[in-house]
Amino acid sequence: MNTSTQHPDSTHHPEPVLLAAFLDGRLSEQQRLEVEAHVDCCPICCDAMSRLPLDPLSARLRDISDDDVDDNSDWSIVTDPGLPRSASPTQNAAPVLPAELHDHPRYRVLEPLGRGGMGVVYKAQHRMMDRIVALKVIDSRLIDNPQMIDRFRNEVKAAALLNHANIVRAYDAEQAGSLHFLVMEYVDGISLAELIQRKGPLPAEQALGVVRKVAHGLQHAYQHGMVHRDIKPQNIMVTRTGKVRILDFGLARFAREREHSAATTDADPDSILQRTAESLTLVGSILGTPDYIAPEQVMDAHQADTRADIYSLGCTGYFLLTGRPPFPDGTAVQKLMAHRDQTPIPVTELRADVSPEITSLIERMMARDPDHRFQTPLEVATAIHDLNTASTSSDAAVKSEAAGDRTDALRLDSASSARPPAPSAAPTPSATRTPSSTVDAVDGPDVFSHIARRQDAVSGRRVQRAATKAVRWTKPIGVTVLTLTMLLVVGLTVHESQTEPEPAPDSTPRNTQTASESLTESPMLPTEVPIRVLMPGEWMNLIPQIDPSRDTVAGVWQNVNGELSVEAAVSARLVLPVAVPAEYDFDIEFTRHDGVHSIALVFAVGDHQATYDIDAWGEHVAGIQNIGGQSIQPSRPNSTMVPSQQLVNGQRYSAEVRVRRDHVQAWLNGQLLTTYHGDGSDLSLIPEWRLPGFTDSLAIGAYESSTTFHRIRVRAVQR
Amino acid sequence: METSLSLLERIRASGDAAGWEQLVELYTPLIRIWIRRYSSSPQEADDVIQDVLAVVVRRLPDFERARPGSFRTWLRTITVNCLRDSWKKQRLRPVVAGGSDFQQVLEQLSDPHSELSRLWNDEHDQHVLQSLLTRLRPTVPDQTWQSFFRVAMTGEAVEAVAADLGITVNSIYIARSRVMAKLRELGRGLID
Repeated sequence: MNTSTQHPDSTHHPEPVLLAAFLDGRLSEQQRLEVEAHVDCCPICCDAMSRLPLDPLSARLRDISDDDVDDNSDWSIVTDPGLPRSASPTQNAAPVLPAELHDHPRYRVLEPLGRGGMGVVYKAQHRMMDRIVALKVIDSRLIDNPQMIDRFRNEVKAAALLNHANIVRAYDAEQAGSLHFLVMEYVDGISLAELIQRKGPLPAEQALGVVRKVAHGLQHAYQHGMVHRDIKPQNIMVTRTGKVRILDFGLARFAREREHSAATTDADPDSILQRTAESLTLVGSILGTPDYIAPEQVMDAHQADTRADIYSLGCTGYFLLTGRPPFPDGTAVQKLMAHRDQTPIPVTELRADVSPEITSLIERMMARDPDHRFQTPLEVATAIHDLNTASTSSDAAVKSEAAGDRTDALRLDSASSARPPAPSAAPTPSATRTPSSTVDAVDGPDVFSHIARRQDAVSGRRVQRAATKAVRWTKPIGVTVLTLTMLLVVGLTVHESQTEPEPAPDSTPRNTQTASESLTESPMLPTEVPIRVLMPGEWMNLIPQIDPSRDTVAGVWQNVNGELSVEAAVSARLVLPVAVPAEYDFDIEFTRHDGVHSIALVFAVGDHQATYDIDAWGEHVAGIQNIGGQSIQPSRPNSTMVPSQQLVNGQRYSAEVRVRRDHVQAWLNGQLLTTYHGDGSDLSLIPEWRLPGFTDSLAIGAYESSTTFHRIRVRAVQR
Repeated sequence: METSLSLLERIRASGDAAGWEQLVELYTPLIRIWIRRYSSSPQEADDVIQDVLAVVVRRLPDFERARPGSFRTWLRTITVNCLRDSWKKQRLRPVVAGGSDFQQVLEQLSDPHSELSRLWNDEHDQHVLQSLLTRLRPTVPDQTWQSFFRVAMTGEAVEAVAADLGITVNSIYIARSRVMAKLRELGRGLID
């Protein structure tokens, strides 16, 4: 080596500040070369540098997604010859290529890659762009009506906005005949589930490296207001070079909601219990067993925020370290209950060579109370980084252990002795069985739908629609509104009668899942599941359902003591978490405390929205607007405008709209004020009340006036 | 005079056409991420992105780096101005979640100390660092890169990496120093 002459006296060492500048690249090139020459042959300065703190740029490097380049952990197992390379081992013959994909104008299918929970994946070539992509053909059970097609497209669109090294790029949602498929980045790798199956538990450092990369990907999504909702080893790919990619952003949510809407199809409480259990089965078959689901998702899927993903990532880390999920035993229902009520066996008890720090990191990710977890994925990544730093600078024992671990990993024979043998609970796909039928075929005419929700309650940065269309009643008979707080059936669901019943879940073929287990026994439901069933025609009070942090469009709204209040602000408005049928009544009671402007009820008719405004435009008019583009401004009046409707501040009013197929009535204090006649197709919202992303929602508004809403309720109209 | 290796200097020196391309490549993905948050339509967003890039290219020769972080502040200011302008001209119909209106968003982005501005700064740095590292990678010998990458980016123990690569600890520190110096040089004006 070049022992340079700039510092011939080996006792003359650069000052720590100079060493720090050297290490962080802050010296001029000439100075840097001088120090470099010294460092090249000085162990003392190397030792000194090992104790230097990171400068801001170096610290930032740790935060950026870092796997565009080989991280050099050993991932050779990923392409081990002789092993099936698909994302899930195909137990059946190769899938038959659907006719729609023969001679597709844009894609030339090269080979099947495997079957995932949601359908078959093919490797394909984009004919024009010569790009290799993966096509995921969505199981036709998941997309069987126009609403679901819309939802699928919207989810893919939202996911396509994500662009991060740790997230599989989604390019487009495509259709060929009746076939729907997702076009996404082709990743030459295997899932973490498969990796552990082949290799057994990972060395701690490697496992944490994977968790950190996934956390970076989740952070990116979080910053875009997106939650994955189904983080698990099956949904995370690793490549031969150690790149880590999260699969199926958007799809998990889509599938879960699809499943529960398909599964809850009866009004009778006993049947609902059974159908809820049934939905577990369905979810189990489509998305795998609930080994990685967060407790709050068990209780209310719509409330899940980024911290639910952190929980699931914690479970995934647990799996990478121990080779088994945190709660490996029991039925799907028992597992769900375990996530809600139990603490798993600490990692360190299953794996003696894992430090208590790592064990507690995983435990903190998996705290049952979301508030006790890391609050953002970035916090997880930073904590892992800090663990590494701590082991680098302070603890020689940890260092040598880590080094040993790595060497061990490099040898990579399954007999490496430092690691515990893979528990038998490693993900062995069990044969899929049809669950014992506890429920008769769905014979009612009703199909549940559920509500459009924003998923960005935490970040609050982007309006994003989870469910893009609320299905409407086509024949409003047997109307039932119910609330379940069990598993995925959440909040307010409104069901719809359809001429064709959903196929009974049991009658659907199940041969398309290979990597997931199914529930094999009659599910056991806990007795404390609160279920409320409203009978047809019954009012539903919406105020308890409202979460201002989630439902606010503009203004400052608060839910206090069963009343909703809003501060004076321009166009303050809030969407109501309810999906409505074609005909319904929407009723509020309110007190305007100050201000001179209008209180509005935003209602929906078909695909159109309009408002019933009271005391509007500073001219004390009331009525429905816009009709044919005309407002109720006296300068641009329409047929529903009623003059002299000044609200007295401090006085309590009731207002109601009654929406019917061919007309809408506006009521004030029990008096019919005015009626719009029409099918709604000429209705529109004035810009002040527009609800971006919620084009079929109900909402309330208060223009520059602090107001209390004492009551907000809806009821489906019974014919 | 030394030849500047900083990307910003090269863009500034290369004249409008080439500068445009480099800027578009470097900044379009980031600006798109920023603007798409407040736009319901990709077309609207694309228009604003064009506006921002046009202003950046036009004004870049006059841009003087006054203090650390000033480029990203400058870029944020231009982006906010373009957003406001498009909004006023009703070419952008902003979509805002979380109970604030668009005016408030713009005000927060105009305040360098707001939470939102900090988020944008972090995103800027993250994006630019990622791009710079990608550009740097082919110019660095493999073992040097491995040393730098594993120690500086994944935070592995220096000793472990040295043992793994079969080189001395000294070489690891030197590799790190070399790549960090190149990174700073390339990113001068953008990331400091």
